[in-house]
Amino acid sequence: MEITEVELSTNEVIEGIKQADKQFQTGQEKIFSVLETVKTEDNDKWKAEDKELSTGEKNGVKPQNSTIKNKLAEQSGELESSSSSKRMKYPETLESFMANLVESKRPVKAILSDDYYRPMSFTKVYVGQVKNVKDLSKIILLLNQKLPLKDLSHLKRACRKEIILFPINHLNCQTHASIQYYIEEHMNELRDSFEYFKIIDVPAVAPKIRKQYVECGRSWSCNFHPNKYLEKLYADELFSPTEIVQHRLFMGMAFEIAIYYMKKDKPTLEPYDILNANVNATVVVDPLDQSVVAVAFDNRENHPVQHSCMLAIDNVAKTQTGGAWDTCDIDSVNLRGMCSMDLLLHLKHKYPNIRIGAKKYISKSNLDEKKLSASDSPYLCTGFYIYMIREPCVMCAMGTYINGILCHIWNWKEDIPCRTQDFTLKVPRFEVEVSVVNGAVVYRRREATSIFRIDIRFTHR
Amino acid sequence: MVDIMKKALELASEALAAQEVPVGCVFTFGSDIIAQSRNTVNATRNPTRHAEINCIDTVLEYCKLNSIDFKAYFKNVTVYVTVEPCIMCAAALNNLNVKEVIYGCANDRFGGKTVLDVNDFYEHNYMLTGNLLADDAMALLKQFYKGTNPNAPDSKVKKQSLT
Repeated sequence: MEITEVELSTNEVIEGIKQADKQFQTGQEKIFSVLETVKTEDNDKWKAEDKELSTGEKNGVKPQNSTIKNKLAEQSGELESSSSSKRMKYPETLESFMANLVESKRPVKAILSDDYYRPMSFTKVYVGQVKNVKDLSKIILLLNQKLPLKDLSHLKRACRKEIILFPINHLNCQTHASIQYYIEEHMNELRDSFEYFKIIDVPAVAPKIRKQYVECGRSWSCNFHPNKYLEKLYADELFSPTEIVQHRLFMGMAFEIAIYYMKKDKPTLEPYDILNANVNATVVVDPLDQSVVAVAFDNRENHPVQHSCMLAIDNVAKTQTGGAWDTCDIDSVNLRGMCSMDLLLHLKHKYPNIRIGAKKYISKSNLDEKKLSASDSPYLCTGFYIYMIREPCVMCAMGTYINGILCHIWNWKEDIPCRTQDFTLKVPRFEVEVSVVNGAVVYRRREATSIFRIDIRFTHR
Repeated sequence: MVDIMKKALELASEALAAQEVPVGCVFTFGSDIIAQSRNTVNATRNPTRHAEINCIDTVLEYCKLNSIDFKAYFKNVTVYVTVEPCIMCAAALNNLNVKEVIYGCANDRFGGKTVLDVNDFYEHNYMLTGNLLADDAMALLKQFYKGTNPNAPDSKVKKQSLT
């Protein structure tokens, strides 16, 4: 993504809006609308380029016209902006590619559900204008009792002198006389309370972030409890610059693993070869002590389940005296996640300052015996970060999900991605919250209704 | 069909006895059973070791030993599993182009159809039929979830107070 380009198009849009549209009231509103427009513009750009760049489907995935594909392409259009046009122009050498990847100062982009980027949806309700403001609280009380808002409970019942009566589908016949008749029939006390009735648009769902809250506020006031974590995610401010440097370092390691294996077949490996190959490489990191627990490189050609991610998960299991696939020649339990001795030595040589190895695994019965707490031993991949050179497929994404992986960080977007939030939203069991306290990453699982697991990708160089 | 599902249910009971989530799975090729397995998540400390994945491993091993092209082979494989394949397994089975999947009870937590329709992500979809001996499969699950997971860390309430 070229920042200059984005700025340019933003300016253009601002100019356009200034000339064409005078109805914006506040500066804030203007900014949001500009953002929306830029996003739409980029969407179109992305879609057009996507068609040009489409190199056929891998893994038997559905072609372009699939609905999900389109939906996701739209999402990624927002996220990726104009980066796709730069896809083809990789630096010529592996060295410069790796240097760019690791040293770049560009932010990492948190990938949130579609809901956060879409404009709010609205629904129509009848409101009544109250004659006497003094009666307001009494009327609200009575209405809440007789006609609770149910699906619209995120809305405040009254706004200025208007009170929400019911959604328009509550009555079959939509005339003002019929509303008056309905009120007389069901709540005779309120017979004379209203000046007039009208239909207005109100937000159909509760706002999740401040941007949406502001957007809602223009039509009707909502109940809103800001969630600092979500706000940070939305603004891409979750990680400090130092943490991003760390993320880039581990991402570099994932590429190093791919290079290590791919160079065996092709000594003159170029960055473009990695991009074009249908392979992935994975690094699993324990963020608490910043150590590499497991790594893996794809074996999907020989074994269609052994995607690097699934191998890495199994390698993590090996460091906890488990594991199902016999893929490792290292004896030491805490280093068994590293695939092979050769690779381990190679990575130690390349990254002398990165800690490698898993924390000692202690079984549940031993924990109880020694009166240790559960946090003294790793449990599956709970709280770990996973770095992949490209977005995981559906199988891998779900695999990391049931493993308690806290954070996906990946570099290249897949043609058919499975955004983890697609099902994180639908599988509300292992929600995890991450927070940074005094420099240490603290995580905890929680049962929440909103998305907390993060899926993060690097923006392009 | 019912016989094979009964076989899968036996495997699920075996899993229950081993304190694993009681899911059993049988792969057939024509009228032959070519693979049978159950969950081994706790034994391997790898939560992705579902019955289906174990069966896939068995078949791949078999193909490798007999120099059979697994890609062509899987196209004729029918999968019997006591619980609807989860999103991960559904994706794996889609990826392998299996012919058909027949399951017992639905999986409303992680189901690869019920929760997220994985077929939307793949071009070649298998036939999916459910509700074969569903009550038996469900009874096993209910029995399992009455107990506690011996390997799970203590409840999050304790954990939170630590952090």
